[in-house]
Formats: sequence, structure tokens, C-alpha cells
Amino acid sequence: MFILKMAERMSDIAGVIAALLTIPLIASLVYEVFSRYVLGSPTYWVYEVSYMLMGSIFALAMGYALKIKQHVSVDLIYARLSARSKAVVDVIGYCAFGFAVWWMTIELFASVINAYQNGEVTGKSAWSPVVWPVYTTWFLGFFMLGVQVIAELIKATATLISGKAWEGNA
Amino acid sequence: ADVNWKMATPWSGGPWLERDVKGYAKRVADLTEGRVDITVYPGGTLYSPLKVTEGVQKGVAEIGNNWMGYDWGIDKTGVLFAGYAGGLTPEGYMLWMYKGGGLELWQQWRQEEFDVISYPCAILGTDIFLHSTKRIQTLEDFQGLKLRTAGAWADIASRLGASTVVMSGGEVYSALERGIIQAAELGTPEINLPTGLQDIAQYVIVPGIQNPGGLLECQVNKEAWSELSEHDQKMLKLAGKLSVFESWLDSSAADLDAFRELQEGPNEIVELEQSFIDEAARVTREWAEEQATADPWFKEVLESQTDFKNKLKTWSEYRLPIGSLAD
Amino acid sequence: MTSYVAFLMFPALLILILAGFPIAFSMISVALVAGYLQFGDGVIFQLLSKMDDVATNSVLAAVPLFIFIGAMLERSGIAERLFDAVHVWTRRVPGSLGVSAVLLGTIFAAASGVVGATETVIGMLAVPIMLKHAYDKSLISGTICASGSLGTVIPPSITVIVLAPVANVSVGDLFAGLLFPGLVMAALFIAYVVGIAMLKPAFAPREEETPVLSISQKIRMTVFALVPTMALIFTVLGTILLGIATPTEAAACGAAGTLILSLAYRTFTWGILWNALRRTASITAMILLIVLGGNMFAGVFFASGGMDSVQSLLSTLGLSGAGAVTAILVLAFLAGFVLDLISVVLILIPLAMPIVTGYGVDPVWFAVTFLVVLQTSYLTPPMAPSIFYLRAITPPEITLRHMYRGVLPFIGMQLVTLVLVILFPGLVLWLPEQMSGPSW
Ligand code: NA
Ligand code: NA
Repeated sequence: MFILKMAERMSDIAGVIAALLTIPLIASLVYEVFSRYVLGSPTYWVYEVSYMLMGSIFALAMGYALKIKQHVSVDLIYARLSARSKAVVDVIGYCAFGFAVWWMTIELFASVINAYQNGEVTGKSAWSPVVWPVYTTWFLGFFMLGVQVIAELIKATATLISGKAWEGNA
Repeated sequence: ADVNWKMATPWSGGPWLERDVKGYAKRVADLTEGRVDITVYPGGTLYSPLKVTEGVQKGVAEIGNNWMGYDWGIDKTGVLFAGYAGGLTPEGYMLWMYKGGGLELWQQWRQEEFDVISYPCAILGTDIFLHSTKRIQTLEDFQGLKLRTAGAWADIASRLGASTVVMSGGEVYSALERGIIQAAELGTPEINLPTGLQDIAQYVIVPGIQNPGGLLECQVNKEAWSELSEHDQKMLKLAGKLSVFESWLDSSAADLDAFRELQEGPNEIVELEQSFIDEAARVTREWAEEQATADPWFKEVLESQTDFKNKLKTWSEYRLPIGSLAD
Repeated sequence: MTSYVAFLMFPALLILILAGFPIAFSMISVALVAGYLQFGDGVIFQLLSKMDDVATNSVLAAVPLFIFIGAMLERSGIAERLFDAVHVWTRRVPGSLGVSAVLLGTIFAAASGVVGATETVIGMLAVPIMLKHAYDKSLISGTICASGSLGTVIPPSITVIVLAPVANVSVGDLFAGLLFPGLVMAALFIAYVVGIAMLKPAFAPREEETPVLSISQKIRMTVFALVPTMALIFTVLGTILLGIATPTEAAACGAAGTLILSLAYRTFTWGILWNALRRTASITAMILLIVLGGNMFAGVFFASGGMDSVQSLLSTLGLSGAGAVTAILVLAFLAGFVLDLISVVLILIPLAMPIVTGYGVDPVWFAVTFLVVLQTSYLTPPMAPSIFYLRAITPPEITLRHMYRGVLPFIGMQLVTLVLVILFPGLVLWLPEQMSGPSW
């Protein structure tokens, strides 16, 4: 299905970006230690950059983690259910969770606009950069998660109707 | 009770929560004869401890207790009321608030910019300047000092020559113990003593020029406020004023005891030289004027506060300083 | 009406989770519904403010870094060399791989206070090798969960730093008080692993079929595999303990170190790096989403009247002395099942301390006991974060059933520690007394 393919492609791309952000996270913190001991002064920016990168890795990889079934569940009972019963659990769960995710996504979008217009800054250090770029990565992360939840919902609904477990890649 | 309110705070524990905020809730119950029942939630248990104002605006908590400096990222004006290096002593703050026009500005600013009903409900004493592993007395000692601090003072201390390190509150103790930082500032003697910073840093540096005094606010969601009778609205504000007075008594007495304990203990208490204090005041003025050019509210409040500070100059000409009549 | 909503949250969560819906998703969904019933639209602000707390918490930057270290060492084969080198010397010790895992857990616990991070890094290092040596899957699971859980009790730990001022005890006293109970726990874990390996050799088989190496071969292997990797680990730990870097910074140096190490061993490929990066991202998302979900669930639970109910439950029980202390510890244990540890501390400790000290109980002793109980709760099924984290990094052949069965004996060891702490308060109080006063 085209929509499913698109959704999963998007999750993959977000996952790739999240994975790549690990490199600047390592580099910036190593630079902080280097700057403090070799150059003799702490940086003014690494503290804020490090939590921003961590938060972005987290947010952007949420949908990718769902796609590759990384999010942990207790499947003692689930594993014994028929394909259709599994689909019932999934449909109910993803409807409720999807609602939460999409609502947060919309609200985060409003936060991005709001923070951009008010020029809101973090206020966490003397550097105190604007917050809208960080909010944007969270918004994108929740958006990708929402897209992937819809993809899972489509798969579960198809199973519910056909009674057969979803096969193949989208 | 007619109304049951949830009160958000930034405090996870300690006297600000247990004594001042819970004392305020108790006073409200007494003055409204039980019509307004307030349950106090420790910081972060309702929602983010740094977003008290936003949560009250949105009605997640009907009432909040807050240090206005936490709204720093959105509006810097709050530090002028909440306390910063250029502020007033506790006694000065009380006078400016209730007799110098401070309160009117405070309420107007909160109303216009944040749409909440706000009034003072606790006073904060003078902080300890530093718990330090290095002896700091002059501006020269301060150069390159690896100092953990936050907010306005992080900016000002950097301009004074310190290497300010930013880290989360949870890391401060271990970082000071292991030498990643050389000094940290936190709060008043009463607040600092239980943290044990004095056990890992030899020097206690005074006076707390980075925070000579300050105020905590109580803020109420507008819709919740309008549900109260006019009489009860008055009682909530009166309870705030009483709490300011009570917290001045309680924290002053507790600080006296805590500071004596520090003095009698093994730490060395170091007093900053006047030249350091003067230079810090100059840099702070510069900093505040920069903020004022960018923000009309900041400018207006700063002017009122500066005028009142100048008025207070004559204080020492006709009054003896507290403690001067000791044997 | 309000506390009625609060208490329906628990069965609702349990049903969703037992039905097999992902844990983090279940917590968020229940929090949303219950919060909406209580606050209407305001709930979304409450939930997102928790995102703000979690996603801007710099201490949590250690999570992706530790995972990256684990993934790199595993994929580049360094972990295997390390364990092989250890194995050469300890082959005769029953359960030597398990013992190494516990020791590694203790070492990482001393480096970091972020529990999930400690557990994932040890798991990534040890699980594949223990599997290769045909260790019993339950034993593997239990060992990793238990070693990972040491992060809360062995200093430093964020929970301790939050707890200390709320309980009005010094951080230093609490760290000192926790040290011996933490070491006792680690020792009991090791004793259990050795014991089971002796009683049931099939659980932890000793490798017999490999050719016997000469001493010079052994030394050669050690110098090439053990020394550089241990040097890396001690660089991470050393920089923290010597005050050169914060735990997060040291983790980053360690991550850079693993890259250098894999280059030096000539096992580095772009494929390995890419694979490690992707695992880092997905496991980070999984762990932090559980942390976030726990925070959201706790916030809504407390705000919906859960805090009042828990507190009035304590006061209406009207217990005294040992009864009161027991009731508080039981509540902490139950609360630790779902709620994030820091919320449990903030809600229960302010209530507990006056009651506890009123009966003349030592506050440091009580705080330590409280933390041991919380840690046990972290390990105890069905709601056991330790197991959820392990789940994310183990191959599917290790099932949840193995994990649930595997942690039980280690919970037993935890309880033994608890009993020891209660019977011999000196275990907690001796060190703080010796260390009281200034450390400079
Ligand atoms: Na630890
Ligand atoms: Na548990």
C-alpha cells in the first residue's frame, strides 16, 4: 500500500537523522572536557546543546522504534492470541494512543509558533538560545510517531477484517 | 469546603514548601473559615516545576506558588521582584512592595502579560554567596573560578571573570565533591545547611550579593478567582501579606541559627572585600540597563525599584543596623 | 469522585499492558483518558510539560551515550574479546561470566546514576557472550536485571540527590550509608551466581572443549584484549571519580574511546558504526518513552486525587512505630511498580519523615531502607522497568517468561539485604559516622 510505504519511509528517515545526531552529541561533550582542561575554560554552549541533541534523538526515533517493534510489551498472553484477537488489542490500543499522540502533535505545533513569535528563550544558561528549534524537533518526532501509529492501525484493521496476520513489508 | 484547589509549586521539599507554602494554605483555610481548601503539590508531581505559571493560566492547577525568576525564558522582568543581584534586602522588598508602589506594578505586569491574579506570599532571606573549595575574597580570586550557577547571575558572574559551569541541580553535589566545579551557590543558610555542601567545601563566602533578598508569589487562575466571593478574594490576598510577614520571621530566625551553626563548625567564613561588592554592583547595573533597553516593562519596574533603593539610602542615618546593640 | 478516577488508572493500565499493548503507550493512553476526565483540555499541557522535563534533562544524555558504548563494543567484537580474556583466567570459577557481569554492573553503577543506561550497557556486553557459552536464559536475565538495578543504590544516584534534602539528611551521609548495603547486594548476587553454577552446572556450563592455553598465550591474550578495554572502562570511571568530568561527559569520552579502540583492533567498519548508531537511536527512544510515560502517568495519578488518597491512607491507618515504618515501605514498594521513582520519593518522603523520626528511627537508616525497597520494586514483576529495558536489547530467544523466572532469586537476595539492613542498622550507619564532618 502506498500510504503505508510512505509512512514507513518517513519513520526510517527520522530514525536515520536521530542516529546521526549521536555523533555531534559525543563530539560536543568531548569538546567540553577538552575545552575545560586544555583550553582552560568551560564552554557556554555544550550544556544546552547536549540536552537538545539527546531530546532530538529521543523524539525523532520514537516512530522508527515503533516501526521496528522496539517498544517493549508484555506478550505473555498476547503471544497466544489468534491473529484476529491480536488485531482487536492493537486497534483499541492504537486508537487511544493515536488520539494522544496527534493531540500532542497539534499542541506542539502551537508551541512552536508561539515560541517563535514571542522569541522565547531557554533561560537555562548565560547563552539562553531560542527554544523554537528544539520544540520543532519534538513536534516532528511526535508527528512521525503519529504517522507510524496510523500505519500500525491500518495493518491491524486489515488483519481484523481478513483474520490473517499482516504479511510482508507494507 | 466550597472550592477545592490544587496548588502547584516548584519546590520538592524544604522550608519553602513545608513551612511557607503549606502555611499559606492553612492561613487561607482559617481566614475563609474553611470555604477555600488548598492542597499543595510538591514540585514536578502535577506538571513541570518550571512551568507553574503556564499551568495556572491553563487551569491545570487553580493556584500556584512560584519564584518569578523561573519565567525568565519568557519575560525577564520577574527577576526584579523575585530577587537578583541588583535587588533589595528582605526588609527593603517589603517596604517597596507595600509602601513604594512595587505591588501595583507587580499585579499589573502579571495581569497584562500573563493573565493571572498574582500577589506576594513569602519573602526570601539573603543567600550565602558561595560554598567554595577555593578562598574567594577579592575580584582577583574570582577570576577563572569554576562556578556552578544559573539565571541572571550566570551572566553577571561571567562578566566578573568567573568560568560559569551550567549543570543540572542533581549533579551539583557530586561535581563539587569531585572537583569538576570549585564553587556553587544555592540559597540562604537555612536552605544550604541540610544539603551538606559545607562538608565538601571548606569556605563559606558571604554576603550573598547575587541575591540579597527576594519574594515568592502566589498566582491564581482568573476563572477560579472569579468564582470566589469578594470577601474571600480579599482573604486570599490578606493571607499572602500575613505569609510574607510570617516567612520573614521564620526564615530570619532559622537563618540566624543555621549561620551560627556554620560559624561554630569547622568551615572558614570569608567576607568579600568591599571593592568586589562595588564592582559587582556596577556590572549588575550595566546588565540591568541593557535589559531595560529591550523591554519596556523591565524598564518601568527597574526605575521604580532604583528610585526606592535610593530613598532607602537614608535608613542608616537615623536607624541603628540590626545587631548593632549587642554586647 | 476524583480519587475514584485515580484508582481506576491502575486496573486500566494493567489490563492494557497484560493484553500486550506496548508499556509506554499504555501509560500515556491511560494518563490521557484519566487526565481528560479530570482536567478537560488542560491535560495536554500537563502531559507535554513532562516531555519538557524529560527531553531537556541533561543527565539523561548519558542514556544514548551508554547505549552507544554497549552497541559499539558488542558489534565490533571487543566485548567478546574482553570476556574471553576474563574467561581464560576465571574459567575454573563456577559461573564466571555471570560474576563478571555483576562486577561490571557494580562498576558502572559507581559511574552513573541513570539506571536504564547502566543496565543496557551491561546487557549488550554480557548477554551475547553468556548465550554463546550456553548459560541458562533465566540466569542470564536475572543477572543482568539485578546488576543493572545496582545503579540506584550504589552512589552516585539522582534519586538519592533528590531524596536527601526532602528527607533533611545530607547527601554525603546517604551516599556513605548506601555503600555497604550496595556492596552486600552485589556480593549476594555473586554468591548466588556461583552457588547455582556449582549446584546446577548446566545453568552456567564451564567451557572444557577449547584447547588449554599456555601461560604465555594467556598473557598475550590478556594484554591484547583485556588491558585496552579495561583501560577504556577505567578512563570513563577514572575521569568521573577524579573529578575531571561529569558522568555524562565521561560517557561521551567513553563513546569516543570505543571508536578509537575498534580502529586500533582493526574491527571498525562503517557498517558496524551505522548499526550501533541505529540501535542507539531506537533503544534511546524506547527507554525514554517509558520514562516519559511513567512521568505522565504519575502526574495525572497524583493530580486526580491519588496523592490525597495515598496520604490519607497513611494517616488513617493510625499505625505506630514498626507498623508505620512497615506501612510506608509497603506503599513505596507498590508505588514503585508503576510510578517513576522520583515522584514516589517526593510524595512519600515528606509524609514519612516526621512519622519515622517521631518514633526515634534514624533518618539516614530509614532513607537507605526506603531506597533498597524502591530498588526491589524496580526489579519485581509484573511491572518491572529492569525487565522492560532488558527486553529491548536481548534476542527473542530469551522470553519474558525467562526474565520473570530469572529475577525471582535475585529479588530473594534483595530481601536478604533488606533483612540485614533492618537487623543490623550498623551496616548503614557505621560509615556515615566514621565519615561525619568535613571531607576537605
Ligand atoms: Na549509581
Ligand atoms: Na516492579
